[in-house]
Amino acid sequence: MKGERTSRPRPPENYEEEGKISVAKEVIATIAGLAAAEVPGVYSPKGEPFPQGSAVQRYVHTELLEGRVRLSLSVGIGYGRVLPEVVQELQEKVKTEVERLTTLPVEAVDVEVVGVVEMKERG
Amino acid sequence: MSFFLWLEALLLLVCGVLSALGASVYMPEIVVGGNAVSPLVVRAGLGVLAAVFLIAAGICMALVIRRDRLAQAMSLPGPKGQIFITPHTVAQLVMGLLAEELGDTPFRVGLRPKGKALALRISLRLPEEASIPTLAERLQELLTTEIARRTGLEVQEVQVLVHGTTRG
Repeated sequence: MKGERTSRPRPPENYEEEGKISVAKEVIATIAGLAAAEVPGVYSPKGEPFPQGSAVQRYVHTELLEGRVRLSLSVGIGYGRVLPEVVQELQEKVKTEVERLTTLPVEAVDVEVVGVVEMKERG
Repeated sequence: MSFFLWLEALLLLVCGVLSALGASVYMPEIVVGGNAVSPLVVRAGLGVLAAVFLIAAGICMALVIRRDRLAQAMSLPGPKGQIFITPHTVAQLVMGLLAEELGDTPFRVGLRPKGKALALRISLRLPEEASIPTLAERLQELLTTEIARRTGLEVQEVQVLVHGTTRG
């Protein structure tokens, strides 16, 4: 649901209760989009470089389940690449970045490869 | 997408059942535009309509089941989540490989599920001076190994249908 927020479930050590930190789903999607854009061979389903900012909402779906994050991404992969290798690198990168920047645990990063892209503009 | 196809199938099924019920009940003579239409003709019309609806519902259900089976065949478990590869992606890869292999020879690609694997159907015109068994074997080997390598999906069958030559 758009605009839904989640609270950080695990406070760091020596944490003093000073207020609640919430992370909007859009922020998680944006972080995931930025991470995806850094993975070689990953494109938007339209064959363009993976979008950043609010445009990423079209291709990144975020679900929040009891403080855990589940992400679904739709991507295009460069022709000639080994799909599972690129996708696993993408899953790893997205999971690491979202967990690092939000401290929210990522349960899964599901990836749907919707097309292959001729690699002319980017390697 | 599957949800809408299921809904469509259900609606067609309901329409079919209602038409069949309409055809089976007693009805008096109907007057349409001043002409009397015999109940037998109306019932026959409703019967035909029911058959059309039920066949369409069956086709819709078969399509959904096929689509779901194909989606199952095309998903892989990854260490951090599920990996789904759409039929369109596999078709694009197959077309890319065939374009590299066959050059300008026109071809068509079809995909269907076979158990938990995929079956490919390639129809093409035979390039000049090519032998059908050699070409078919080469394409089968290429597609089986390359699609498995590039996608991780198992290709269990590659059917090659030659429907003419590039000359004619």
